Amino acid sequence: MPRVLARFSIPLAVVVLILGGVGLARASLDELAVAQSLSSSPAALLGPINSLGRTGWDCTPEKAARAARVREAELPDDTSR
Amino acid sequence: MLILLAPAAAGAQDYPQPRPQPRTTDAAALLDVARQREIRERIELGFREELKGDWKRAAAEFGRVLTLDPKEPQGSTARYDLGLAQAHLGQLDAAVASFGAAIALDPDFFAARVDLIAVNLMRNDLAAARRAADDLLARHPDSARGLYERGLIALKSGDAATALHDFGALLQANPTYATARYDLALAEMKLERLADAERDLRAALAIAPQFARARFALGAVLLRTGQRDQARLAFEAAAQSAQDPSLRELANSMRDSI
Repeated sequence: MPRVLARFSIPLAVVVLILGGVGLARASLDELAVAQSLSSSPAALLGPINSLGRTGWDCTPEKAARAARVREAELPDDTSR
Repeated sequence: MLILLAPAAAGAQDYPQPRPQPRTTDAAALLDVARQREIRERIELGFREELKGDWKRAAAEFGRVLTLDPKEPQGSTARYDLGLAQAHLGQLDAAVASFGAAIALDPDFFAARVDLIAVNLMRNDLAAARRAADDLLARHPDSARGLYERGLIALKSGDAATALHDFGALLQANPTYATARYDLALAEMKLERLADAERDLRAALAIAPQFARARFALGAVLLRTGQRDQARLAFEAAAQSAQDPSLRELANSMRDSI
């Protein structure tokens, strides 16, 4: 029995290593895909403000900064990326 | 009632309506009138230069305004516009200082708070960007800009729970904003909420079928949950819709590696 074990131990180790390697490669592929799922772009800077100042909601940058709606807030649309 | 409104009015930062200057022969008063006029004129000139994209000339105008010691709200406005010009000129540390000075003069100047976050992100200073975003949202929790930017900062710095909260809150008011739906899914992936991530990515793709990044991320989720055939199809679709050559190449490589 020990002789049989000795005879098959090396091929068995090779098989275990190969299977382990395949598993590792799968894990790496999986991790790579997750790591490459990058977050969206940051929003651009708001625009300048003129000498009329920040008269409440008439000032576009101030309005964008306070807005709860995406369109008014001038947030990016990353769906073409 | 007027007493109750007074603090809000002070924070609203409306400019007083221009009035005819009272006639005077007093030298000091005349000097002050001339100074006020130069401040208004230079802010307007700098504003026009910024609209044209001539940031260097704009910075010079606003720099000159600040030497004239403008009162509020011109002082914070000039600092905001100077910060904007500096940011576009790549002078990011100076821009941070200018936006910070504008906010110190008027803590309710939300445009300055938003641009302070943006400039700190450009500097890759996630800790400072996070502080600025926290300050903005503490004053104005519904700000879509604040929620979006803090969500991104949280994703980049590994705080997936905050990202989940912020993109979730943003989507409550804007349920068809596919970009935030995608970022919400990224937060869910980091938290191992893979079923939620898959649902949100599919929802983003229902709104924007050409959203290649969302298709790629869907492939990543499917691969992670052992749905290899579906993952292959998702990467294939990502490669077909990608405008970015590097994403297309990566999606093709992922498809071939499965």
